[in-house]
Amino acid sequence: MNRDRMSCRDWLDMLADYLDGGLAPESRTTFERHADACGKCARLLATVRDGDAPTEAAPDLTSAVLARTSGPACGLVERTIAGREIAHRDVEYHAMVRRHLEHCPRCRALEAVLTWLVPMLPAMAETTPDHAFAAGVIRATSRAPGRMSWRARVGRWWEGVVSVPLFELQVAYVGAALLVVLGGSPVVPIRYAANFLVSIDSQFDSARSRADAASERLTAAAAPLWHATGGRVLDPVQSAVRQIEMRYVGTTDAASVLWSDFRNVAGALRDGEYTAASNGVRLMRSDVVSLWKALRHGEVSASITGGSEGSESTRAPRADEHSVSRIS
Amino acid sequence: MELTELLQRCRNGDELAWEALVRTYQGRIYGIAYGYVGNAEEARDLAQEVFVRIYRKLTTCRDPQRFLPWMVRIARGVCVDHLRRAKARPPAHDVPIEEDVSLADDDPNPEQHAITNARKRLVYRGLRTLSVINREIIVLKEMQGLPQEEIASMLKVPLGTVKSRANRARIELAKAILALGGGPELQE
Ligand SMILES: [Zn+2]
Ligand SMILES: [Zn+2]
Repeated sequence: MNRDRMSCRDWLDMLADYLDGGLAPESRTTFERHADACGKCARLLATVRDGDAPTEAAPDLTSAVLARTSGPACGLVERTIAGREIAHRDVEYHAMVRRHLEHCPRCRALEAVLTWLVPMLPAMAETTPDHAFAAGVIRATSRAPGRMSWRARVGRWWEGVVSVPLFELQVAYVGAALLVVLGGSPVVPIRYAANFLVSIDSQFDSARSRADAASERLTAAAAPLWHATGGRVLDPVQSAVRQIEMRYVGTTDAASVLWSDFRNVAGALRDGEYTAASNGVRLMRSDVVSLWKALRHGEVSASITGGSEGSESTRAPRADEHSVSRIS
Repeated sequence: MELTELLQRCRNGDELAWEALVRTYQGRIYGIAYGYVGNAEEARDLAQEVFVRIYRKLTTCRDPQRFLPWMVRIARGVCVDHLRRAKARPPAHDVPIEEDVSLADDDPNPEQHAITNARKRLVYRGLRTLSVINREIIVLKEMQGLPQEEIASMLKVPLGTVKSRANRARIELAKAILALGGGPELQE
């Protein structure tokens, strides 16, 4: 429709001529108008002129590539800003975390809350009740006969029994069956089954490091592709990727919690701590529920993701622009 | 008066000693109950119930060194019992946290005081949206500062679970607070 508008591909074709000064005046105007309107091409032009590092020209490549490879690093960053658990990592690691925070509004908001939250919690150990409280306690204890009637006791005990869901029983049954299947013998299986579970864990780790290497290769391979197409390949899928990415954060988080609880149960079984193991199994139930929720709804709340990457809203209509110019 | 002495007098039925003990620890017990239920009315009843139970069991606490964890353990038991029963019989209405949880009244700066109070209310509201295990870890580890071994044996879960959950619980709480709108406007 509008001949003045050009696609990034056309723009890219003219780039070499433009730099050589070989463009006709009207083509030159069209070329410059596109660069004014299109952030990606403007950055590319700046890169070519000033010899900037290519990564600076393509900040959005990172999140798109991460979404297709390793997933966003938010989970790791969250764990780092929440505590000292990863304190043994080196200076470079922390520099990378700061770099992530610069580009991730979600993690930045979380960090801001944690900054006041963590030191505040110990200060909340004591909360003063109103003045009548102590007097009330003393009244209640001084005339307390100290005994509940047997009726009240039985009632209370029964209430407790009723409120225990049957689920624990079912899990115990399935778990026992599983252990027998894994271990073979009904007498010695538990120890071996636990060792087996732990060995799965180490295989999981090596699989993950292989995946990391693969994602690095993919990132390297994707960079020239992005430059060659002027970002056109990634542009239309950008918003879809963003949504998947947000859902992905919730899902991987829930999965990793489930996994770590699973490992703890295996460890407790191996050490013969059966009460702890069965309580761990109960925790796994709620883990499964939150994993299910994350898978279905993408648990990340809209209020957090709403302000993500301010430039996105200005970029979205441009995807349409390209498709329009292709049709015309 | 030293705690050992105080406990001994309480066990002998000294009302004044008992009153002193209640006054000393009421803030902590009420704080725990508030962390679990996030509601002043309920917290008050629960805290009272906790003290009644402590009173009845005083003779079973022999070691004054272990008095604090012993007391926290009782408080935790009462709160968890209450939550379990509340789950079986859900209340007709969800009581919002509007009451002023006034703590640290000695704050000289009224503006800072208002921010602190707003944040504390957010923490309590956020706590109510967490799963019980995460709530317990925040209350027992972060607020009461109990050692992880103590918490693991109290909750009867593997020690590794407490360790791996501690960080996770913080993140969940911070996310809950963000979702409640506790973001930028509450930063200085
Ligand atoms: Zn362009
Ligand atoms: Zn992030």
